[in-house]
Amino acid sequence: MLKLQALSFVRYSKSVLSNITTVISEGALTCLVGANGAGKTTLLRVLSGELRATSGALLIDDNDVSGVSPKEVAHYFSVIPQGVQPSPYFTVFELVALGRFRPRNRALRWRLSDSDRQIVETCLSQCGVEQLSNRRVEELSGGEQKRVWLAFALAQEKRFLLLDETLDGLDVFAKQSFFKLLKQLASEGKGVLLTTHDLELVTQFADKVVVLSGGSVSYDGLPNTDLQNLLCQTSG
Amino acid sequence: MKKKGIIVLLCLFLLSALLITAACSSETVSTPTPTISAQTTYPVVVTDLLGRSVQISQLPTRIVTTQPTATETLYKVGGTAVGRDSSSKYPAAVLDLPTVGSAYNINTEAIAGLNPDLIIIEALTQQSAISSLEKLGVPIIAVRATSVADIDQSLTLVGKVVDRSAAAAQAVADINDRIATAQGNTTGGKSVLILISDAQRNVYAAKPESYPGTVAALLKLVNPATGLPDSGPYPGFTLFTAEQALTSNPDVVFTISPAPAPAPRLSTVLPQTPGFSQMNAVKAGRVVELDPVLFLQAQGPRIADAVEEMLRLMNEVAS
Amino acid sequence: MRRVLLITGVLVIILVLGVLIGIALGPVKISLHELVSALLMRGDSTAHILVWDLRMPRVAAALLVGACLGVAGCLLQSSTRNPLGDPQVFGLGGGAAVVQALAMAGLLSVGTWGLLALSVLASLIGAGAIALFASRQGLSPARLAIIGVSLAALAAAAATGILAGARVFSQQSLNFVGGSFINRGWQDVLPALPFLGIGILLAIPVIGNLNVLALGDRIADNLGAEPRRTRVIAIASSGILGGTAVAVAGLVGFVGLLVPHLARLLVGRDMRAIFIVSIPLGAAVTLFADQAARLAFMPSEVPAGLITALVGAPLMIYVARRVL
Repeated sequence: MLKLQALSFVRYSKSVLSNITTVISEGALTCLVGANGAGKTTLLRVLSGELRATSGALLIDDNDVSGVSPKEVAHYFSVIPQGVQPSPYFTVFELVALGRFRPRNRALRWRLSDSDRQIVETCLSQCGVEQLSNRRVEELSGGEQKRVWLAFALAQEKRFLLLDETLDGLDVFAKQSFFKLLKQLASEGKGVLLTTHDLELVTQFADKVVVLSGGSVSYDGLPNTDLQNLLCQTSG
Repeated sequence: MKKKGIIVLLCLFLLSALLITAACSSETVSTPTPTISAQTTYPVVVTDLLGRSVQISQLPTRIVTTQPTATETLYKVGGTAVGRDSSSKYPAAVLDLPTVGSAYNINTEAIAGLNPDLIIIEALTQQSAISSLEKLGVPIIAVRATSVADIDQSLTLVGKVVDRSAAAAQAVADINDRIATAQGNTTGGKSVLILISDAQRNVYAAKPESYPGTVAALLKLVNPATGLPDSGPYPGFTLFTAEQALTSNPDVVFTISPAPAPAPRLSTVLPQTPGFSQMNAVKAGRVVELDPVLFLQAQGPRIADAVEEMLRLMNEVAS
Repeated sequence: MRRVLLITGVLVIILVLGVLIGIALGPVKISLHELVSALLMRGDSTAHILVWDLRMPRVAAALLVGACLGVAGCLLQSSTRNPLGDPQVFGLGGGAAVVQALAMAGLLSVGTWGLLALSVLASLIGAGAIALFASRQGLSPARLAIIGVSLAALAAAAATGILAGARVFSQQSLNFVGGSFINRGWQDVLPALPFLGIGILLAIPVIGNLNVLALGDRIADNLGAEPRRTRVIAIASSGILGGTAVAVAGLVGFVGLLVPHLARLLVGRDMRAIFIVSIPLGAAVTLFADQAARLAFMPSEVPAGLITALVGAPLMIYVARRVL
C-alpha cells in the first residue's frame, strides 16, 4: 500500500504539485489523468525517487520513505518513463533480461542465473511476447515494443509499476489489449499506476482514478463518473 | 732500342691520358672557360635556369627577389634589390628592405606596390608563381642552386642582366677556386649521413641530389643515402628508417634542425632514437649540427662557405 | 561466455602471428636461425639489436595503443549512447595532441614520463567537457558528436598552429590520417603501460552498469545502475586511454570508432563481452595496420594512421549500412 500525504513539490519557486493526498493500492490498476502540464509526470518522478518532495510524506506499508535515498525507494518501483526508446541492437530477450540487473561490486561477474532466466521467460509469456524473443526490439511494432517494456518492468519483480503515458501512439486495439494486460497484472497482485489520456478505457478498466488539475487532486475515486466533463470543468 | 723507347713513350702517353681522363671525370669542379666580361647592351635576351627566353629592355634599377637564392645571387654580383622575401636575410644590407611575403607564399600585390622592373625567382620551388607574376608585366628570371654548375650559370645570368658581368665572372672564379682548394685539402673516402626530422619523428637523409648532399659530394664524401627513392619535405631527401640506420655505418652524422630554439636539436634526439642510437658515429658522439641557413635554406653563392665549413667540421670530428 | 573465450582465443592467435611478422620481417632480412638466437640469447649482433631495440618496442607500442583505443571507443560509445564514440572524434585525444606539439616545439621539456602524464591530464580536460555535455538531458547523439568534433578540430588547429609557429615541419595536414609508430622505442612504451592499466582497471567496476545505461538515465537510476557516476568514470577512463594513445603514436583514427562495432558483431551486445574482446581486437587491428604501413613500401614507410583510415573508413561505411 502506497500512501501519499500532503505531498508537494516546488521547482524554481513554482508549485508543481500541491497537497497530494491519495492511496495507491497493490492488486489494483490506478489511472492518473489530467491535462498536459497538470503534474502527472512529476508525481511519478517523485514516487520513483528521482525527485524529492518539498514537503509531505510518502508511506509504503506505513513506513515513511520520503527522506530515503532514491536508490532505496527504487527498490519498490519499476518505472517505464515517457517516450522510452529501446537501445539499438538489443533483442527482446536481452532487454527483458536487463530487468534482472542488480548492481554489484564485481560487475564483470554478473551472470544470468537459471532462476533469472525462468523469471524472464515467465514475464515474456505473461506479456504475450515470448514468440519475439530473438527479434530486435527496434524492429517490432509500437504495441509489441510496449509489451516488451512491460515485460522488462515485470522482470524487476518490484511491487509497483509506474507507467508514464505508455499507451501513447498505440492504436485502439493495442490500447485495449494493453489495458487488459495491466488489469490482469493488477489482479495478480501488482500495484499499477498508469498516466493516460484515454478516458473511455479508464472508465472501462481502472479500479481507481485520480484526476490531477494544476498540481492538485481534483477527483479521487471510482471511475464511474463522467470523466470527460470533470476534466473540462476542472481545467476550464 | 728505338722500338722500346717508342713503346715506353706510348705507355707514358697513355698513362697520362688515362690519368687526365680520370681526373676530369671525378666529381671535381671544372673551372669554366672565363667568359668575355663585356658590358651588357640593352635590350638583351637571356635564357634563365628554367630555359625561358627573357628580354630585358633596359638596365633594371628596381629589382625584387623572392627567394634567398635569388637575393644572394643578385648581391653577390654587386646588384641591389628594392624588395625581398621574408626568408632572405643575407647579406645584412637586405634586412632593411621591405618584404613581399614568404618564399612559400609570394604576395603579388606587395611586389606590385614596389613598382619593380625585374623579378628574380627560384626555379625549383617557385615556378608555379610565374603565371600570377606575369600579370605585372615585368620580366621574370629564374635562378637555381642545386649544383655548382647551376650556381655558376645563375651568377653569370644575373650578372649579364644587371650589367655586372665582370663581377659575376669574378664571383664564379672565386667560388670555384675556394671549392677546389677545399677539395685539395681532403682525401675524401669518409662517409657521412645528413639527417633532418619532422614533427612525427620521421627522419630523412639528404641524398647527393640535395643541396647539403651536393656539398658533401664536393668533398668526395660517401653518402649512404645514394640511390634511395625520394620522399620527404625537401627535394632530394629520402625517408631513412631505423632499420636502414642500423645497417649503415657512416663515419660522421650531420644533423640539420631547421626549427629555431627552443625546438630540440636533432643531434640531441638521435641518441635516444632506436636504430640511430646504434650507429657507431652516434655512439662515439660524432654527430654535428649544421647551420640550417647555410646548408638548407640559403642555397646559392655561399656554397663555398658551406664546403669550407663542412670540411672544417669533418676535420674537427673525424680526427 | 564460451563465445567470448573462443573469439578471444582466435584473436590471441592472430596477435601472436602479427607479433611474429613484426619481428621477423622488415627491410633488413634476418634468417630464422638468427631470429631464434636473437630471441633466446643475449648478444650484440645486428639481429639482436634489430629484434629487441627496433622491432619489438614498435610492436609493443602498436599493441598498447590499439588496446587503449579499442577500450576507449567501447567505453565512450556505451556511456554516451553514441555509435560515433571515439577518443579522436570526440576530441579526447586533442589535449594530448596539443601537449605533444608543445614538446615538439621545445616549449615543454619534461621527459617521457612527464610528457605522458601531461598528455593524459590534457585529455581529461576534453573528457570533462564531453562528460558535462553528455549528462545534459535531451542532448541528442548528433549534437554530442558535433561538440566532440568541434573540440577535436580546435585541438588540431592549436597543435598545427604551435608546430607552424615553431617552424617545425609536419607531414600531417589532416589530423585523422596521421598517427604513426615510426622510431618508437621502449622509452615510449614503458611509461604508457601503467596508464593503460589504470584506464582499464578504473573502468572494470562500471562495465556491467553500461549495459543498463543504454536504456536511458531514468531507467538506469531505477535499476540502481548510477548512470551519472558510471558515465563520468567511463569517460574519464576513455580520456586516460585516449591521451596515452596519442602520446605514444599521435592521432590514429578509426580504431576506437570501429573496434566496438566489430566486437559487437563478434560476441553480441553484452557490454562486458565487448569490453573484453575490444582489448585484443584493438591491439590486433593497430598492429596489422602498422605492419602494413611499415612493410608495404619497403624500405620507405607511410604513417599507420593512413592505413587505418584507408581500411577503416570503407569498413565503417559498410558496418553503418548493414548493421546500425
